[in-house]
Amino acid sequence: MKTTTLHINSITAGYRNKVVVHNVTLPPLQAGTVTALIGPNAAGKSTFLRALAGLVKATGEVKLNGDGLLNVSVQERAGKLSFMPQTVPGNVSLSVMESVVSALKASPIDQVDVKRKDIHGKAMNALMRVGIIDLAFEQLDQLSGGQRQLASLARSIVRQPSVLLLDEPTSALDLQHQIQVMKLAKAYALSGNIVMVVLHDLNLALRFADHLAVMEKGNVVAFGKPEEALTPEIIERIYHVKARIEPCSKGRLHVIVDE
Amino acid sequence: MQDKQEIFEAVGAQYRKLVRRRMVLLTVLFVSVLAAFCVDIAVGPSMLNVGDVISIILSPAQADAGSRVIVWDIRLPYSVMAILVGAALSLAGAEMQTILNNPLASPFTLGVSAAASFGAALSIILNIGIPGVPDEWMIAGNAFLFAFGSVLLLQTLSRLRGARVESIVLFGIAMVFTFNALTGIVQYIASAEALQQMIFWSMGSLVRSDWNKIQLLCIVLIVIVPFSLASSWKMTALRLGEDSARSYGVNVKRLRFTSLLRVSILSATAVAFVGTIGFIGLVGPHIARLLTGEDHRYFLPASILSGALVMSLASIVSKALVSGVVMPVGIVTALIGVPVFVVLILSKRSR
Repeated sequence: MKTTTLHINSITAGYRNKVVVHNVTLPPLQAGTVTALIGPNAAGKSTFLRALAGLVKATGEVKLNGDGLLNVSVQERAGKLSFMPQTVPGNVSLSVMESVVSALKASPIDQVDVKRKDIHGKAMNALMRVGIIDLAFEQLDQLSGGQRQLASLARSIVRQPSVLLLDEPTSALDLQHQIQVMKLAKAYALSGNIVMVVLHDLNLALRFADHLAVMEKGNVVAFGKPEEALTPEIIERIYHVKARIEPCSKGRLHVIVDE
Repeated sequence: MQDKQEIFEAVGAQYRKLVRRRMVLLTVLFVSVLAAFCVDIAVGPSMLNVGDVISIILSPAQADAGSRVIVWDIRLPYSVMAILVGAALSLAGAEMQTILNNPLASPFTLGVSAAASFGAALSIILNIGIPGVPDEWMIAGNAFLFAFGSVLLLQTLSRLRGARVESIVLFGIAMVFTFNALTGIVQYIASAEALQQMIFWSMGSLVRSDWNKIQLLCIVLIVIVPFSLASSWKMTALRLGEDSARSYGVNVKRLRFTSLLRVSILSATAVAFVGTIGFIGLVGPHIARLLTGEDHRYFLPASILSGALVMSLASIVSKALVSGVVMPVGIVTALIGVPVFVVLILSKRSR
């Protein structure tokens, strides 16, 4: 079986005359893994993710199984990679099902026959995976923030991208929905895909990520397994906060802040 | 697994039901437009009832010359024009609301109509013509140039960081004032003859409708509408946010540009023929949204039909309000539109 690999080499990105991400290179990312981008505000995490998604002008190389992703058409990229924004508009008069169908029909997906029944099946499958099939005919503008985020996640995976990029997917969610979204992200990775996620919650990152990429001032200052990349020294250096990283009674690592 | 199968069938069935319901709604709208049209051609200062009008339309040869002229040269162009202009302005409004992500957008409220009106006024006073091209086309063409310019300005502003829904509306109002002032200057220096022609633009009215103009507007709609409908999936996706739409493979830049091009052509031709008729582009799409939601496969046709319906009803009112007098239809649409506009602003606040 061919394994999916994502190569990210010397990405530089920014806005107008301000470079936000400086020449970032990551080790190759394999299918089945979740990589969390962590770091203080303005470290360039979101910009980096948006650059990978082609939403911000960037130089460098992003290759999925050897095929470049940066300098391709919007449509071609959409077949391989999906980006879920931090917030979605709330005032939309569409049902959840309609919104997922429109995400599918917005542009043709190659190698998939676009029969009507197929489209509906795919949409329903995505809703099923995210666990919101019972909300299929609820209006988006009447959902709670958490439900809306889950609907957005369903739209992001409905095209079955090999690479799923999530920009702070948990920032506006309650505890239950935070865990739910992260579990879904992990499950999506385990079904043969690559997931990258920007997180502020270090404990979520420790628990769900296979790798952490710690960013500061537009650079990746540490990368590796959670316990290797996130150390008290790193936390003090980038957040200026004293903290310990210790296993709880169940053996899971947690960040404990000491000040 | 059996469970999943059952759920899928239930959800699939419900989705098909939803689609069917939307088709029924569109049909009802269409029939309403036809009904309003029939009433519209039967209403007017001269004493002709529906039966007379229909028999004159069906067999013009048997009618007396006076009635024939009234029906064929006055009533029918007036009523047909109402429907076409309503459809064009409402479609333009619907596309603007989606593209600018702004429920208060419409050709009238954001100054596109005012710009087109100024373009038309300029063209009349400068009296530039290309041999072989009818004056109407020149006026419409110039109206288009200004409409498109104003639309590009709006687009640039709405893409600036931090531009909020309200600030775009305020900018639109600024454009309305600016172009109205410019039109005022043109009117001030215009000859009496040109002035008379121009006054007509500032007060939207259907009385100058004729078959040539109808033909041109028909062509515009026949060309534009298929392009609008063809982009309906992309527009629906855009409602879910620009980043999301791009992530679903929509070239947002191109979609914006082509859509705003359509908006300019639609509003410019409508304005060039009947002047600035306000609020149809605002009210039509909102009725459509309430009826069908924002799946643009239904939302756009529903906007076209509700715009045509509201305009046709306004046309009836414009003739029936004061017996024996045909009021400018723009006055009627403003009377309907302003309350809707206010309600929209208030409902946005409470959200």
